[in-house]
Amino acid sequence: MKRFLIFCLVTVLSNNVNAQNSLFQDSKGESAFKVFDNSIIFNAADANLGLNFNAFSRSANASNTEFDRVGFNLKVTTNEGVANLKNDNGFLVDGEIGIYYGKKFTSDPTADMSTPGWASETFISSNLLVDRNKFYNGQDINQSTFNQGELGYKVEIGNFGWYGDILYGVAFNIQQQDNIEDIKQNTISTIITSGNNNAIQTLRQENAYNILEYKENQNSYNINGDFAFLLNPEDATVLVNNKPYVPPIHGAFHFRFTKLQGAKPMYNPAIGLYLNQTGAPRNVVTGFNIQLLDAFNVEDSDNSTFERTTINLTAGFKF
Amino acid sequence: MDMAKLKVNLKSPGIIDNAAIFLEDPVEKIAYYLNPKGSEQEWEIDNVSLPITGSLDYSLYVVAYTGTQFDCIITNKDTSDTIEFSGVTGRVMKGRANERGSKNFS
Repeated sequence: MKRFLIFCLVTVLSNNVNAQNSLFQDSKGESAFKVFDNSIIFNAADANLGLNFNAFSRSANASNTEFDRVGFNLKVTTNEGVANLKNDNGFLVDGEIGIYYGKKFTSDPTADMSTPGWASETFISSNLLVDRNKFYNGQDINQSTFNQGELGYKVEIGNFGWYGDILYGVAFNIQQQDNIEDIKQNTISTIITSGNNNAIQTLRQENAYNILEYKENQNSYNINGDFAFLLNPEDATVLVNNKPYVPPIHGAFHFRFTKLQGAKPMYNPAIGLYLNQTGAPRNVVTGFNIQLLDAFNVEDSDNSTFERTTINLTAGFKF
Repeated sequence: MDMAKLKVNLKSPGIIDNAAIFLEDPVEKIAYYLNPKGSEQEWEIDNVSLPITGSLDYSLYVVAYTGTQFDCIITNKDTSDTIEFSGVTGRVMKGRANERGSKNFS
C-alpha cells in the first residue's frame, strides 16, 4: 500500500479553530459520518497545535473498486500558557491522539449506466485523550483551586457511504471519559477584607468545577445511525455554463443510542434539514436538526418532551 | 503515427469515489483507472501512451454522489496542449456520469 503524507501549514492568529470532523454532530458530538482533512493548525494566540493527515489510495493487488485509508490526528492545547507538558502534578495539557483505518469499496465506474452508483467504507478508529480541568472542593471552599487530569479513550467501528441518492452511516463505539461536559463551572472569588473599615476587595476570580460532582472513568457505549436523502436531485444536476448552480438540499434522520455506566439506555433521535454546497453535495453549508434527548424518558426526568428537545445548528461541515 | 504521452487529471470541489477513462477506444475495451492523489478531490493517471492523429476521442466515467461537479484536463505532455471538459454526476443515473466527446488539443 503506497502512502503519501500531505501537509498544509496554516497559522491562525485569532480564536481557536476546532476542526469538527463530521457532520450531524448532535448535542453530545456523536455522528456516524466521517470526514478527512489534511492540515497542521498552530494557534499562536492560545498555544494550540493540531495535526491531521489522511492517506487515501487504491488497494495494492486488488480490484479497481477497492481503496485503503489511513488517518492520524493529534491535538494539543497547553493549559495556563505554560510551556512544559507535564510536571509532578500530572499532565498540563489537554490533548487527543487518534488513528483511523478504513477499507472502501465503490461501484465500477465502467459498469453499465443503467445501475446507480454507490460507495461504502468500513472503518475502525481509536482515540486517546487527556483532559485537564480546574476544580474546587465544594466541602472546603477555603481550599485553593487545583488542576486534575483524566485519561480517556474512544474506540469505534462502523460503515458509511451512499447508494443512489441516499447517504448513510452506522457506527458503534465504546468510550471511557469523565463527565466534565455534563457538569457546570462556578465562579470562585477570593476576597480580602480590610480590618479597619471592613471593605471587601475581590483579589481573584476563577472558573472551576466542583470536584464532588466530577466523575472519572465513566464507561459508555453508543450506537449511531445517520441517513440523509437528497431532496432535489434534478435541480442539483442542472448545468449552467457547464457548472451546477442549484445547491443540493438534504433531509436527514439521525439515530442515537447511548448506554452510560450506571444509567439506563437512552435513545436520542433527531431529524434535520441541510443546505449543501453547489457541486459538492456532501459539503454542508448550513443546516439544523431537532433532537429529542431520552425519547422514552428512562431517566424519569421532570422535564417535558418539549424541554428535552434540542435544536442544533451546523455550519460549514462535510459529510 | 506518433505516440503521444498523455496525462489525465480530474478535480472536484466535492468527493469523487472512483473514475476511469477510455481513450481512442470506441468499443471501450481498455479502461484507464485514475488514481487518487492523496485525497478524493483530485485523481490522475500520468502514463498513457497512445497514437493520436488529429482529435482525441474520450469517454470518462465517474462515480460520485449525485450533484458532484468535476473538471477534467487531458494534457499532451509533449506539447503541453490540453483538452478540457466538465460535468456533474447524476444527470443520467444516480451517482454516476459519463462524459464523452472528440476534441483537438489546444
